[in-house]
Amino acid sequence: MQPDIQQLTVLYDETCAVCRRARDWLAGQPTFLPVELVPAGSVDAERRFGAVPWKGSELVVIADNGHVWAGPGAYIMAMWVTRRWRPWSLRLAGKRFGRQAERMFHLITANRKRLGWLIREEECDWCENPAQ
Amino acid sequence: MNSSQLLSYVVYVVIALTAVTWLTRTLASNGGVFLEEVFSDRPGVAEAVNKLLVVGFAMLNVGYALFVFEPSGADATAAQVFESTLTQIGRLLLILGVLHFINVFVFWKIRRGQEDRMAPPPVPPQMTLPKPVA
Repeated sequence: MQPDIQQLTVLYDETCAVCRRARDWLAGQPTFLPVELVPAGSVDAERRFGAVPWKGSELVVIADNGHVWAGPGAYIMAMWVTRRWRPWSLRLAGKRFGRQAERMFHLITANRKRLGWLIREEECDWCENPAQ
Repeated sequence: MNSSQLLSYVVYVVIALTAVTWLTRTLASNGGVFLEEVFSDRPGVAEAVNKLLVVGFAMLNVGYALFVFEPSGADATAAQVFESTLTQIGRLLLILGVLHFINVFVFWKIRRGQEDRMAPPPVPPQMTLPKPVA
């Protein structure tokens, strides 16, 4: 396995329905490493990752060795940690699809609040900051 | 049973067993190299997996070869007996070829799975936090 990375922490936007759905999806995936899912606006995230500037505005993935990925790189890392989608993470990070994938991930992030209609919205009765 | 029938059965069995032996040996020696790499962190496992795969492959092939053989009728002429035997040898070799490719594919899948498991992060991090975080 990766000698330098033992765990990943994902900071997701708990105020967006699609992001919460994505979190549930990731939580249900078999992964190569343990994955911790933390709401970006939570006290916990602020206390532990206060130095990370993209919290809440971009998807952020933090490895236990201190490496931080934000934006498209974080999407790639979230796929990379899953057993099923690792081959696709390598492909989407490559020369052939890299540019397109990056653009797509930027688009998703920019429009994440508007993508709610794609899924059935559910009550967020667990999150610390209720949806605005 | 006439002598041409007997001869053709013997030919079938000899060819079938030779083909299976040859395929099995090829698979064992070349597949072993693959498996050594896949299980490089666990010595002995490659050899064990290789033996198990090869035994299964050999049983499947010998069993299939004997199972599909159809003897020609007692009143068949020598020409008919040879014809049907040739057809059966051809079919057997085709099936063995397909099975062999399936086997190679399985080895390849095992190797691919291993490669994925060892793949480093494909994208560089945007920043590194000063001290490692739990």
